[in-house]
Amino acid sequence: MEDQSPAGIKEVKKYLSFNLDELVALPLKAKPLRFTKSSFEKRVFHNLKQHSSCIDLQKKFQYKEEIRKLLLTTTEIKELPKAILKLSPLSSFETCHVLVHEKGKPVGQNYFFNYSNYEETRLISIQSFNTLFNLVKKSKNKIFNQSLNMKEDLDVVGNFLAKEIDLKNYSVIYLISRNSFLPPSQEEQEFFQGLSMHLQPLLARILDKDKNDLKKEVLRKSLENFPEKIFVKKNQQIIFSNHNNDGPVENSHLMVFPIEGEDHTVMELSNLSKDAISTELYHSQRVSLLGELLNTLQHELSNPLFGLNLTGQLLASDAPDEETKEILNEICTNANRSQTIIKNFSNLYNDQQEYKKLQVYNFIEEVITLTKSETKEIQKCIECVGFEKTDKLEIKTNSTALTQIIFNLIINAAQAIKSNSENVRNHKIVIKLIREGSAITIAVVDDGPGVKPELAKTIFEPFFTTKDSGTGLGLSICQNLARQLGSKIHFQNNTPFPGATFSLNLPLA
Amino acid sequence: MKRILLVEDEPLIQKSLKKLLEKKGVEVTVESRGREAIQLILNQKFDRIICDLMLQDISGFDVIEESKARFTIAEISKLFIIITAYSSPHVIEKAQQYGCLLLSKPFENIEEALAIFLSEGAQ
Repeated sequence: MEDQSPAGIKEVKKYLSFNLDELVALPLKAKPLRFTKSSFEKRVFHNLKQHSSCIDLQKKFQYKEEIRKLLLTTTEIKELPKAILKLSPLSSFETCHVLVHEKGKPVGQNYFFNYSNYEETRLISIQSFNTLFNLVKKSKNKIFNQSLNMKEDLDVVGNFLAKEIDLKNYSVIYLISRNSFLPPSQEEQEFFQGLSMHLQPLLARILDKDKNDLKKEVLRKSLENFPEKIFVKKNQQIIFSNHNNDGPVENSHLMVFPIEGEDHTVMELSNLSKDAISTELYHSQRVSLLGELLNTLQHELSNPLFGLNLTGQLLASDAPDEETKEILNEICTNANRSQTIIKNFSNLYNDQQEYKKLQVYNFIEEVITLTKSETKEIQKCIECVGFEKTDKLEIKTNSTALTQIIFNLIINAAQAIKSNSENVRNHKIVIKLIREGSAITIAVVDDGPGVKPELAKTIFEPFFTTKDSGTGLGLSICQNLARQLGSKIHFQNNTPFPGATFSLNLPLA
Repeated sequence: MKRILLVEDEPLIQKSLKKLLEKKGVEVTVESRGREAIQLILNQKFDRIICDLMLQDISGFDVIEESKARFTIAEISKLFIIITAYSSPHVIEKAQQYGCLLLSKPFENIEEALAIFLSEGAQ
């Protein structure tokens, strides 16, 4: 089998000529070494067995393969002591410790295994660890005996072999003992020491993995303890939830986040528990801030506007001619109007918990005033159905919340119209007030493009938006506010003409 | 009713009210700063003091408080009329402690307001 041998055999012959050190240094991923299970390898070994001089080589291959197996199968640091003891060159040893210290941590871990299948993980003080580590590092033959004052930490009797491994984030010591004073053979020592170069990359890998697992664990714990319901879904299947007993919550209460790097996986966060936090909290903070701002504004503008009004009246009464008088009256009227607007603004944003009676028609008129700049050029009107404007129908409600709702619905209607038409003057928004017995329905009807049927179900979901600059919170906040008022916003597309209608029903006072 | 002191720092309101009151035939002294107003109150004789609450330097209530050096509570309650754009419950309560009449700005009806200013001793 000299020169005519096939390429594979040449390769094996090359490896067979290596001594142990060279073999150990071979890259582990090199394919040609994975031949123990092949019939080819058996044949080679069979041939080798014919020559007693080759038995050593065969052993070395076996060892090599065992190390490979250890490296491939060990995934956790606590499995390592057992795996080391299983290696046949170390078969006469009874106990194994793997001591790990993550640099910067106050304690180290001591993983232990003995041949009566006893497994244990305990802590080791950093002082003991460092003492041992330095001792091992300085030692040449790596043989120690129990005269070392480390009985508390190490379960060994007599001599033991120890080797240190210094990693970027960890210091590791592995040590084995046969629990006797019999010194280890040269062969065992060599093997033991040679092991370190294989263990080094393995340890680096699994220790960091442990660290990542810890991170995951911490993350999982914090998700589990999150006060709101969380569901993580992959392909619509729940793969994680912090509320095992409850069913999934309604869609309209959810915030949904896709998880980066994971296809078809989303995290759903219920944003409506007892205290209704998240978006609502954000919203209520915004509203109360706005309320304060408007209050200040009202007071600051009120005085000068009143001054304008007074002066105008005074001058008008002394005006030399009709034209001047008219102009001065106009000033008064405008000052008055400004005052009314700012007053209504701050009335609309008053105490968020307060329920008071308000006249529906006037209320809607005021809200329309608020939307003026957004709905510029679009016609707006209020239609009363089943009653007259002069009936002064009243509802008892929270004006801040209701203003928000109607305001948003009108703005949405205006934006829908603008998105679809150049000539917004031809369009109009109708606010229909429909009396139905002791209740009234407020409907905001636009003649925009309407909502695509496939999107109809999702429009109330948080973060759903069709607008480039939208937050997608408007309608979901409105729906939450409506719920606070004991109502619900309904949506339907208009027929036969295009457009959308959003409506809610409230009891009359 | 001969002399009225108007303590108000919004120029348009101050000037207009002065004019309107003068038209009713009274003499009006105007002042926009609280401290100066106190000096006027302590050293001159007025039949009525119309006092705004939010002045630049001190509050109208401070002005009233300082007036106690010269007037009794009963006199103060008849002498002073408070005008304010900040008629919060707190402010109304405080005005009641002095027994003073309080008018919210803007006045709903100016003629009525003028009539109140000119009335002899508010209730």
